Amino acid sequence: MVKAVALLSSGIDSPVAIYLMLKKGLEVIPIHFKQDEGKYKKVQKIWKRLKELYPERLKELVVVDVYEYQASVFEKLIEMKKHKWICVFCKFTMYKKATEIARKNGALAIITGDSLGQVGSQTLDNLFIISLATDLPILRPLIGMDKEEVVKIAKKIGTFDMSIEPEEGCPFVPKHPVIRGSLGEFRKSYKEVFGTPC
Amino acid sequence: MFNCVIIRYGEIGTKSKQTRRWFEQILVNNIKETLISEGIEYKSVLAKHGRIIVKTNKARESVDVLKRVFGIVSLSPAMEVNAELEKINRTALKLFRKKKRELNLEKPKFRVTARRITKEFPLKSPEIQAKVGEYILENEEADVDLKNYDINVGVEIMEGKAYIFVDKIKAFGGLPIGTQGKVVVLLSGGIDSPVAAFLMMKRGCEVIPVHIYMGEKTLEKVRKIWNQLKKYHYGGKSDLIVIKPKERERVLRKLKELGKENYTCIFCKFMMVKNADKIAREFGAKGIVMGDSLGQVASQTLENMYIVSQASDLPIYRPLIGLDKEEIVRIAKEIGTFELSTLPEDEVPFIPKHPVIRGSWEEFKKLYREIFGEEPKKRGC
Repeated sequence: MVKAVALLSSGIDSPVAIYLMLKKGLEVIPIHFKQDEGKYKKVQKIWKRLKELYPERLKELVVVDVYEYQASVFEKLIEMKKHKWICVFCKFTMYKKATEIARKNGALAIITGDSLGQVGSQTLDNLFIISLATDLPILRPLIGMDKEEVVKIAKKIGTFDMSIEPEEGCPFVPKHPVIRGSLGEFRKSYKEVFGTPC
Repeated sequence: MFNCVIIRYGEIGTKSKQTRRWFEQILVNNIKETLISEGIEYKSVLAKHGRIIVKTNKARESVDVLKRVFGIVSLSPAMEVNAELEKINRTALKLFRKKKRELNLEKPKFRVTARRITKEFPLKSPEIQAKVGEYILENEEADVDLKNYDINVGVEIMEGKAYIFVDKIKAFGGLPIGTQGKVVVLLSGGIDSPVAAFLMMKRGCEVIPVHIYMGEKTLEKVRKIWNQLKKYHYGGKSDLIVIKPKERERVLRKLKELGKENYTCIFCKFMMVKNADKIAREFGAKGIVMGDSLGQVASQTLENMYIVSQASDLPIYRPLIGLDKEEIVRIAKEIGTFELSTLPEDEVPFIPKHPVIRGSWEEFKKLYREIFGEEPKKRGC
């Protein structure tokens, strides 16, 4: 069986992305970057639902604590007055962690719920930078879909109602996230945050 | 009879005010460009109150071409009249009659839906609906049925004008081309890659089509496919770029010498992406689009995808990756590329009997070094 890892959040998109790839026959190891109990509970519910649909193919949920893994990065960015870069760094470090987990588990790709133009930070420029975090192929089954189509599938598989349950907003998201991030600026900031080139 | 088209758009409506204005402007421009390049005369294209109104006496023809413009959710050929009840009634009746004839119904069921987009008109929406409905009932054989209706008479009122229509034509939705930047699409003669191109266009990308030359027959076919795709690409400027890869002969010869013909397909794809990468950099494109979907062809495995992905630092977008073949074929038929994709093409003489299914990066690297005298670079920051 061919394995891939997947980023799983409590939102509408990523469960649909995972569902589509499970349906295509991949084994999927879902990874959740945990911010708080509320969103985590939602993700567990979503995971259970997907597990009912594909009990063999969907693997155990891997949980990464955001406060352990990423919070210090965000704090450093705020210190550097680069807080508008937080979303790009958040995704970049997620992909990095996902790559690590993939290697450990023999997975060959990363599945994400990315789509174009829905959120200010999901632009071609930002996706370009974020994608450089990994050498693995990134599978984005929703990239050519409208929100409406994604919602339709989410309703069909029963994850929609779970995803729209109220939740805390992200505590890290800046007021004006970078929309057209430049790679040069990202590299510079990355080196400053991590002390090594990206 | 019609003197304008009402255009409704979707996702743009959810953006911030500033973004929205910018999106609307691009959509308006794309609409104008479409009408101009199709030779359809119009008086004006204006965005107001979440609608775009095209004033034209060629409303039907306009709708036929504008339904291919992304960002548009639905369109209605409409009559614009001054917002006076008497005029609204008469126009509604006229359109109702026309539709009744079209449908060839003795006693159609109908409903009236009214909206005041600006509120200066004295009657409220339900009152308008009642008045117009009554007027139609007084003059025509018909029944009101709010749920199972044959005809929906729409009335939208804004800034002292009323727009009356009886048809609402669905368009593709998506985002206006030009709102999301540029991507390079590797276009072959097959069914998949045109659909992949279409889906990225639909999400607002300007697409730069690149074809890697295989022979005249295939090229001819790809030109036809691109000409068809261009009907969805108003606002985009690119033309088909054809690349005759210089390195192909050497790669094929070397692989043969090494007895590694089974790696031909992977090398071929790798070189395609490398070429696409070069074009992307030249044109400032931010991604490469491929028609890959999992498991359709033996060579479309994640292992092989891994190797091919190393050929560029740009993200590779594979919008078909989660779709079934039937869905892909359905879209291809809907957009008119399916037929073209089944036209004859040049036979590719160098497809190996047993292409490698799970290519190994280590092995690939070794072969690459043998052929090019240097290691391929792995993608990275």
